[in-house]
Amino acid sequence: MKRKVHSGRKLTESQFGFLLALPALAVFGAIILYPLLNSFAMGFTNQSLLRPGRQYVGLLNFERIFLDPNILQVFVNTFVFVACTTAFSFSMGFIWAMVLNQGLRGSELLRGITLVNWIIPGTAIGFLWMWIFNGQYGVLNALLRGLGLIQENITWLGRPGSAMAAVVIARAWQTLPWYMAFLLAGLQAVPYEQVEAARIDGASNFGVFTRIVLPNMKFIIFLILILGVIGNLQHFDIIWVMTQGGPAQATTTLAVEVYRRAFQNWELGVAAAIGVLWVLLISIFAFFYIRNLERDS
Amino acid sequence: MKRYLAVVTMLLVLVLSCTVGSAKELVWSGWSGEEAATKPMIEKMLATWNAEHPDAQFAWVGWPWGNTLEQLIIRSQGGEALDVAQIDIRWLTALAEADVLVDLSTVMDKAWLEGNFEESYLVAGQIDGKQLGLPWTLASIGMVFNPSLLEQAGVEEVPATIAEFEAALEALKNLDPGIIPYAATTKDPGSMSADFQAWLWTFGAGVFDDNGNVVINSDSAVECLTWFKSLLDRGYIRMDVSRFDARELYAQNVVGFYDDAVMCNGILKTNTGLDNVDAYIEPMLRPVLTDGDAPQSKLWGHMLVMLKSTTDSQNAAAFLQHVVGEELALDYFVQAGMLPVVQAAVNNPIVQDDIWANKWLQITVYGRMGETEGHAKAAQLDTIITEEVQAALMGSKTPKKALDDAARRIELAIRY
Repeated sequence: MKRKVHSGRKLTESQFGFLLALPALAVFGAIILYPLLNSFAMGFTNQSLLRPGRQYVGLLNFERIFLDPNILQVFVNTFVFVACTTAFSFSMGFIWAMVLNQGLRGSELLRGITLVNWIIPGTAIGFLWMWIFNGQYGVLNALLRGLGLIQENITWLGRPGSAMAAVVIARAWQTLPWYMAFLLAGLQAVPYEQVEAARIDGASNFGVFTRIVLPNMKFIIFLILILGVIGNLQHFDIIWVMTQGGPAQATTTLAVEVYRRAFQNWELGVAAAIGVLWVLLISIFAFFYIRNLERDS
Repeated sequence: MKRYLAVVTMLLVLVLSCTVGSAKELVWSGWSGEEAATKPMIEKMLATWNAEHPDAQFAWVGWPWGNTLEQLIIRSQGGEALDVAQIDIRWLTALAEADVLVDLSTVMDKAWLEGNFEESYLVAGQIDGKQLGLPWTLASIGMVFNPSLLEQAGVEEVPATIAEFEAALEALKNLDPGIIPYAATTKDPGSMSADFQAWLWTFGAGVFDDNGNVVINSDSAVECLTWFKSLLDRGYIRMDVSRFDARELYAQNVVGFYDDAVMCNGILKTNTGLDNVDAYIEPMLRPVLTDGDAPQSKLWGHMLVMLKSTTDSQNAAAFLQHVVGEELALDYFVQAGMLPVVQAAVNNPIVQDDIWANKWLQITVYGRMGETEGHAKAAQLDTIITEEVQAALMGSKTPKKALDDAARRIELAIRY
């Protein structure tokens, strides 16, 4: 049987590669690039959920954002939330990973149980911790009263400092397994011979940790810290469920502010403008992440 | 060829089986079908309609109260087919601005509307001369007290002035430090702003003056917020209390006073499981600053609207008339405590002779619309008021500074 032979010009390797990547590029363009560019454009318009169409308004939305006397507080809250959550969940995750790395009996079971936090939806975690911290009938108050540590209930979510601490704890509880899993993998990749050699040379536990373990894990630590910061910058659901950004904006982060502007104030243009600032902030961390990846490869 | 024909025939059969013979399904949205106290009545309203109209079946799509406006606007703007909806009266302006509502006078007989509702009720659902909302239940957000706790605390008279109110709160606090004398809402903007406005009016203050200027930082308003903060400082109110929390705590018999809508006795029945809750809850007029002042209350109510995305405005209109009809309205009143507005039900002895309803009507006499409700950005204004009042309560701002900031933010919000 004769095979049909195409008489056209042969595709070069790069053209063929481009053709193969085309469907993925089309999907990327439709669901990531277009919405991103549209959001940027929206930030310079007066688009609202209450009326169709939009007009170009220049920098008016940015002017409105910076005229708001409380916008600085939103940036400060975002910084506090991201820094505390990342630091807390990273340190707890690292400690827990080191415990599980000791190879104690039952550590595999414990690893599995720890991952449950990561599986539970953020909204459910928010309700769970809201119930724990509830100022009127919460578990924490009942426990503290039972132990005789407090005489009257404390409204944990009704005070700025404790409300922020509560959402940080809830978020850290959710993300701890994620850090633990990566760090445990990193710990298991540390060359055992180096540790053994250091021990023979008389290195202490602290010395082994700072001179052998940390240098070997530098790359993975950097990566998960960057990804953790980006994830916490984007985080919304636990904060919204527990405090809705209150009291008195004490837990309003950029993510909460964008939601409010878009779905309570109906101002999609202003929400998009905040989104632009937010993306610029995330881009700093994304830049370091990508640069580190490239350096490693 | 035969294979293609077979495939096409199968597809046709599939499509036809999905469309031919299936009843048209219309959507009723809101939040009452999600709440334990009102869910059975919503189901009954749907069941009675659906039994009589197999060709136009209605199905319920609901969300929590706090998400309903957002869902209605997003889904309507997104082109989703919604037919009729239950709304809070404070949302009418935003929905009208979004231009998603049908003028009901174009799909309902004008004589039927005028013959079944008081003019003032119909006016509450009108914007720019269009009947965008059909009144379903209207009353006020009023105050209720716990007669049992007050008696134990030695409070013999229902407090009528601020001074008497403070004395009653003190007595309740002395009775048991675990009691929350007044479970004022201090958490969610949806309730806190409205409840605080009633106190602003009590002190002769307001959010706007008659010309629409922002006056929430007036001397009287600062006096009001200073007093409200003093309640917290003295342990009479607590932070982080939502309307939901207040109801739950009231059901635990640890609250002396709180603000709620007319159906709160029905909610108390559901939350406690008691058949008769008269000994535990009673409506009262809001205490006044000085004798002779008018007790203040904020109008509260639910309306029914038809959305422009409806595919069957005739059946949608008939369904709305079915829901507000006398029989169901009376049932809704008996089962869930919702005061009816349709004339025949209002005049029925079941409503006329009801002691609870009559006491609540005395509160409603003084009812006025919340000051933020005339704005499409009502939610934003409520959030601003709530955040600044919270800041003063927590001591991070003085009452004067908090209200100055509130004024500035409200001016900015309505300017753009």
